[in-house]
Amino acid sequence: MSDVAIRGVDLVKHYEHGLVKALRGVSLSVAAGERIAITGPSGSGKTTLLHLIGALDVPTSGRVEIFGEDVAAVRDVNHLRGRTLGFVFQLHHLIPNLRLWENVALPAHPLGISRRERRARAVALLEAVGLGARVDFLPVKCSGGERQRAAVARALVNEPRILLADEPTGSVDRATGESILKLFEWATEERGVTSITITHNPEVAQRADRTLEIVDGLLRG
Amino acid sequence: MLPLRNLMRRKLRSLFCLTQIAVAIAAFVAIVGVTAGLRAQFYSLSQVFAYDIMVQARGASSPMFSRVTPEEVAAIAQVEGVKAVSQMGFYVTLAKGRPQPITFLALEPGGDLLTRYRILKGRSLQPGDGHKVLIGKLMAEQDGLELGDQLVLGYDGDQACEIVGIFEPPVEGVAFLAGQAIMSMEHYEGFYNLKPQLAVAHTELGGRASSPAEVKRAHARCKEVIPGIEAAVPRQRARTILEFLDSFKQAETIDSFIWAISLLAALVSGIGVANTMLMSVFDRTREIGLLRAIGWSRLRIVGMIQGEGILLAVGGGLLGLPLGYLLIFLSRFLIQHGWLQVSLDPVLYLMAFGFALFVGVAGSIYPAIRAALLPPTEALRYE
Ligand SMILES: Nc1ncnc2c1ncn2[C@@H]1O[C@H](COP(=O)(O)OP(=O)(O)OP(=O)(O)O)[C@@H](O)[C@H]1O
Ligand SMILES: [Mg+2]
Repeated sequence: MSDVAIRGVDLVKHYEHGLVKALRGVSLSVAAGERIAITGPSGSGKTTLLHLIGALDVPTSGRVEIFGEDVAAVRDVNHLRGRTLGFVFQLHHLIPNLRLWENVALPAHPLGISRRERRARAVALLEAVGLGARVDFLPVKCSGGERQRAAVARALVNEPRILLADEPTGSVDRATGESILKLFEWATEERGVTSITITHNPEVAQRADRTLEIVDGLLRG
Repeated sequence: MLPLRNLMRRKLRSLFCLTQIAVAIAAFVAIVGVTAGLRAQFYSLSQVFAYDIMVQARGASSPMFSRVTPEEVAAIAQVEGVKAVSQMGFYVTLAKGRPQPITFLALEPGGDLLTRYRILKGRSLQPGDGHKVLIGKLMAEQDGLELGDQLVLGYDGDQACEIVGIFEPPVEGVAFLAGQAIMSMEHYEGFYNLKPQLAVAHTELGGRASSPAEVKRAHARCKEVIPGIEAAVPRQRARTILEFLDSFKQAETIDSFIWAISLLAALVSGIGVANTMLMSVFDRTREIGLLRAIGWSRLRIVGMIQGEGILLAVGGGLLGLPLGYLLIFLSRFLIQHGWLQVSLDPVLYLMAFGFALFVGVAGSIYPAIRAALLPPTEALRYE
């Protein structure tokens, strides 16, 4: 296995037929197990970069490699997203008519495992994020922080090797933000997960192994 | 069940769609039920008269305006392949104390046609029966008539006839036939001074075809005899029962009617499903993007949306089926005296189910494709 978890090579991303140049040639290399923070002003291209790394979008030019494999050549991109990558979004995006454990178990559906097994996995993770008592709640019955923690549990349910987070603490209070960071740290330490976290918060950035700053579509420094 | 729970999120919207489908399927069930009944009637008509050739004056727009002479009847009887000839007359008249007119058939006692009427009560007509008549089962029931009762006929109300028998028509379940009455040809010609209007040439006595294949064979046999008849009585036109039924263009009309109604019902309910599911997909754009982002394949998304569409349609079907039966029941009640005959075949259940399934799949194809093509990046966009 390659020591490099993620490699981005000359990533360029244009929107609106080139009118918007969101990324103008970004190269990066992230070692397996490394914890990266990405910072930068609004509109600088952070989310765009995360999309490309997460195989949610394709670059205008350049390429992304996940564990040495060119994403553009990956046959089953769903499998890549579902098994190798875990996403945490700025908003929790929990599905309102599904109970917390069912939301957490959603990524496990394509794995073809039984409902019971899905529930067992989800419950274990919810307990790990301190939501053992909320397993059967609907998202509306949970606080914002609880929802965001459930979203983190959802990102971990398929035991991904890479965790991608877009301002996971952006819309929660300090204490919740802290508990989410603890979870990320637990995942990297206990499971050797590689993580990339976009953040505006210098404190969060400081706790990463390395911080990358994007300005105007280019990495600085 | 994820699809069911997704539908339950917008209960009112789902309910509207369900109702729309239910009404369409009810219409489908009612129409198919009624027409299947008609078809069954046509089939039994063609069974009972499979070996018969109807002979009617050329150019007569209706049997009512047709005539056959005794010489012609005799000539037909001589034709190769004809085993017997029956004559038939019609007489429509009013009876005292009865609002609707009665249609009388005049048949020869002992003739092949009359023997096909099963006598339920009393006896059949015999030679020399003057003011004696048979009435159909339905007429007896509806008018509360019994054996021995008098039927006072004619516009002056001076011709009393005695009911000597109650019959079941040869084609069972045809309300129209069971509501008729029969008098003897002798009485018809002698007392009313009317002339036979139709001749029926029998290529087989008491012939009744027991299967569709036999109906076909009998039809073919009759077709061979027809040129001989038409040569013998040039003023007359001879047709098999199938040709006679075809002359109404009913079979085709029924078929195109069923198709038109089914198509319309499918369209209405299909659009209902499409509209509901499309709205639902738009509502859940971000959610679907999220599912894609966490590893759900396009196919899985299609499956989810189609599952919801099928559930809607089948749910509508389950609602629509009893509604359709209710419609049939009501129409039966309303058209009691008419020809309406309904088939409540269990096949109809299957057809309605298949119909609903088709509507569900077809109606949700486009919404499902729309959903599957949503970019997963939608999930990461906020606001
Ligand atoms: N789908 C899109 N179509 C057109 N322009 C886009 C699209 N997505 C992003 N952009 C543009 O690309 C640039 C970079 O966007 P991006 O979302 O990556 O910024 P960001 O660094 O994540 O900002 P923020 O901190 O505000 O989230 C912005 O100017 C944005 O308007
Ligand atoms: Mg962003």
